[in-house]
Amino acid sequence: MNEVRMLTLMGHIREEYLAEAEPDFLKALIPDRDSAATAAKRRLPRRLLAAAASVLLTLGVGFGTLTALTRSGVIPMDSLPFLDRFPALQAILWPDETQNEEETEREPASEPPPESDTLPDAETQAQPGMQETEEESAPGPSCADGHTPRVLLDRAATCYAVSRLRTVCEVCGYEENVYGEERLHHTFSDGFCTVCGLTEGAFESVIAEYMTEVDGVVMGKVNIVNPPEGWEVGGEILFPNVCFTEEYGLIPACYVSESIGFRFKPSRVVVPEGYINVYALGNENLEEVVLPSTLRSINWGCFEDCTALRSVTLPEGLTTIVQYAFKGCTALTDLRIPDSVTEIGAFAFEGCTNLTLDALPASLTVLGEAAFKECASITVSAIPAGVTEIPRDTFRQCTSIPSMTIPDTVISISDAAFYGCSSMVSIRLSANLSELSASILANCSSLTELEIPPSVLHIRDFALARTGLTDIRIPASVLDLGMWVFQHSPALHRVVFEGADTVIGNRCFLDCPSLETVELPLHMTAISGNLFEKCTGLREIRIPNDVRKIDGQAFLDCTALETVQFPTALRELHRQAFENCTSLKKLTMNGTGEAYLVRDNGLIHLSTKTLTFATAEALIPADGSVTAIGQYAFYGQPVCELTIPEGVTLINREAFGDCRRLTEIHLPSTLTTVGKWMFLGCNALERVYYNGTSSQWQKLVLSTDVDKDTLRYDVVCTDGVLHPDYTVTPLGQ
Amino acid sequence: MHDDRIIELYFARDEQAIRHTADKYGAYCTAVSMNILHSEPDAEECVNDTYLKTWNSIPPTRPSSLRLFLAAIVRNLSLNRLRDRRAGKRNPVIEVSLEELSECIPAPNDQNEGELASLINEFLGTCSKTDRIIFVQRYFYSLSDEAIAEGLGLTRNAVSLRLSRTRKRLRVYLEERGYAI
Repeated sequence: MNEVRMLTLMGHIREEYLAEAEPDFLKALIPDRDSAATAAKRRLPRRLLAAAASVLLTLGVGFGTLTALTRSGVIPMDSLPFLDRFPALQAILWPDETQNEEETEREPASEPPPESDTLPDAETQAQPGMQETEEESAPGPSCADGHTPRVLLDRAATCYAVSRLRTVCEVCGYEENVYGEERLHHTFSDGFCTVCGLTEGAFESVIAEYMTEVDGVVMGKVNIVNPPEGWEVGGEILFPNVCFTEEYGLIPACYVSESIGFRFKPSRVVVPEGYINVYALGNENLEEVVLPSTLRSINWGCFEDCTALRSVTLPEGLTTIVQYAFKGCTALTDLRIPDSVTEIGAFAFEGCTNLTLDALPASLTVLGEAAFKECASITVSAIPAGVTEIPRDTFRQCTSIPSMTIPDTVISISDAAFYGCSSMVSIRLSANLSELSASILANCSSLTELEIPPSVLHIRDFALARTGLTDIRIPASVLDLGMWVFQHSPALHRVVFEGADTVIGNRCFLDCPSLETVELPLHMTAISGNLFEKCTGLREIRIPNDVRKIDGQAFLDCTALETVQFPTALRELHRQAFENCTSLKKLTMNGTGEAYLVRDNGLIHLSTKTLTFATAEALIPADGSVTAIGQYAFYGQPVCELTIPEGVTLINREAFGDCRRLTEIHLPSTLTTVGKWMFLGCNALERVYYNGTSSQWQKLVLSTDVDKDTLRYDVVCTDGVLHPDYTVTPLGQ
Repeated sequence: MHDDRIIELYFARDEQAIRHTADKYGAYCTAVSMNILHSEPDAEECVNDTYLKTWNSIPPTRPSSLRLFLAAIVRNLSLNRLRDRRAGKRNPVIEVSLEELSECIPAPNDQNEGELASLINEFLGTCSKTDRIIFVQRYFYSLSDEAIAEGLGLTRNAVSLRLSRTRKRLRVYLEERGYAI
């Protein structure tokens, strides 16, 4: 099939062609499992203004805004005076003059935009299916039948975002978002957007006051303390496009993916009283932030990567810290999370390496994925009782956590939740936990105290790898252990399985050099591959009597292993199960097995009379109960002298492979077949004795498929020494 | 997990990258490989090799689509395995594909492979979208005519007819540019 190259050539087809031709059944195989965080990132523009009271105030300031509104193809200007629908919003915006508000608002809105006539109405109508429906939108009947939904402008098109309309039916509650076609491409003058008033320049300090009213026009106001050279803004800049959302507080409409902090890079931000949310203030210059007492929520990525931020005082009353809120604030040291916080979102404090936090608020109920990942200085030692779930990576590599108590209310702890908590000495797990998930306590190198609760059914891959555990009991409730569960545990000394049927995955005890005692499940049926590889402290193993199969390299490199008790049910022993167990001496079995028998430290297969496996101390019985030496039977054993008794007719390939200490071997005259590579790696072998004549030997090696290696030895036959070149030196010379 | 974050993990040399790749694209890669090899253990090995190869090539490569990047790797590895597999199951779709392709494309070698590939890409650019999809599904994704027909809502005959026309055009296209068989 050398022409496969023709198809390999097709591997160079352009990705766009591959993508368009990708078969649906393949696409369907990709789980829709984007993490909450990234999903939120994608959803952000939609969620931004999703709250019921979301309103955009786009007013005044000449043609720019009007262009903004009309070019985006979204503006039924007469639908703008909708503020009257949100009395709560008005109360926040204009606490003193809610009465007159409607009129001031209507005024600029009624001003007909120059190009609005050209906009067909249809474009502004909600079109179900045109874009994804808002997740939070109430599932209700579509308004197709009869009702006339109101179309509200949710967000004008900006420099960076397409516009969005929200269709709301007051009769049936149907809601839908519709997105405009394109974003605006504003012109920047001196790096300053002529429409939105945003700039790419860095300012030393911005105090955001956000809302003000100039001649009946509502504008956002940001006070620039030190404007860049050449600026004549008098320290103040007005944002014509500002929106208020209940969900995210006040933000410049120009914001989409870049935050205000990113645009302005202020070092000090004062959020005025009255705000319940803050959003996207983070930047690398931010050193100080003053949060209002009214604050309820710190939103998505608000302080992400504020590497200069040292401390924040979170107001009492704060309830939610949304995902990414303080991610990567490496300088952040002082923080007290007030007792009103109920939710800490995904990645909220990820990478806050200097954060010294000693307790989580008692009010906490929701912890997000990787919320405290790599917070190397936190010393939290208990999970509040309201928490039910600890998601993936939550405390991963929190290297200062001294111990951990998880209340019984927690019913699930996901993968790697405590991975690499290298100072953690003890952990008390919830009594309602049903599994130890993958890598849950892996790399907790100081962990010595752990009791697996009797509710646990599964222990997943790597769950307890590289810990400091010395003695562990696996309760009877555990049905199975995944792979690599205890691997590389340097101190693990004793393992007791209390259950009779627990299934143990491959490589579970890989490289546990201190392991001495293992009480395996009484009725286990198989020793899986590489199970005890490199357990260099293991001297004795009793394999439970129901084990039928011992897999390859199960005991590879167990160099101290001396005694093995084989199970009576044994049917299948992999030829490399005990590879490189160089101390092996004693083999035993409780009586005669179903297929095998142990005699004089050799394992004999009953029906074929084959010596399947033997230690260096094995004596091959000469009574005819063994007629064949199995493949790899003595492989790697430190045997020095070996006598194969008369009656043995067959020696399989590599039967004495790698017996590096073998110096002398006596072969019987009854041999009829020898396999390849019989003496491969027997570097010390000097003499081969053959209990027959030289011609018999020649006949034997010529009639069977023998390799050159086997033929390079002098063979001492009964009538003389046969040399590799088939010359014979008679005995006595 | 989003692809960008997975790629970020590769760049950070974090082994979790492989886990996330396997979580998200394991079934996908296995399907691509199974399509070629028709053998589960072989496919599994190819997929594992794919992870390793991905790990070794990101960085410096920064694939624009992780999925297609993986698909290309797993496909190549599977084809190599198919070639090395002396005995065992043959894949009729692949055999027929090879025969069909050898009728219109000269045997590639180290020297002309790059130019041939870009010519094929150019040629695909001249095809109609449906023809192109059929061609790519057939010779890249190794789908059978039936599977292609079902996916596109065509009949099996229509697919093989279009495919043979495309091949003829490709043959002429390559001949005109000095790649006669």
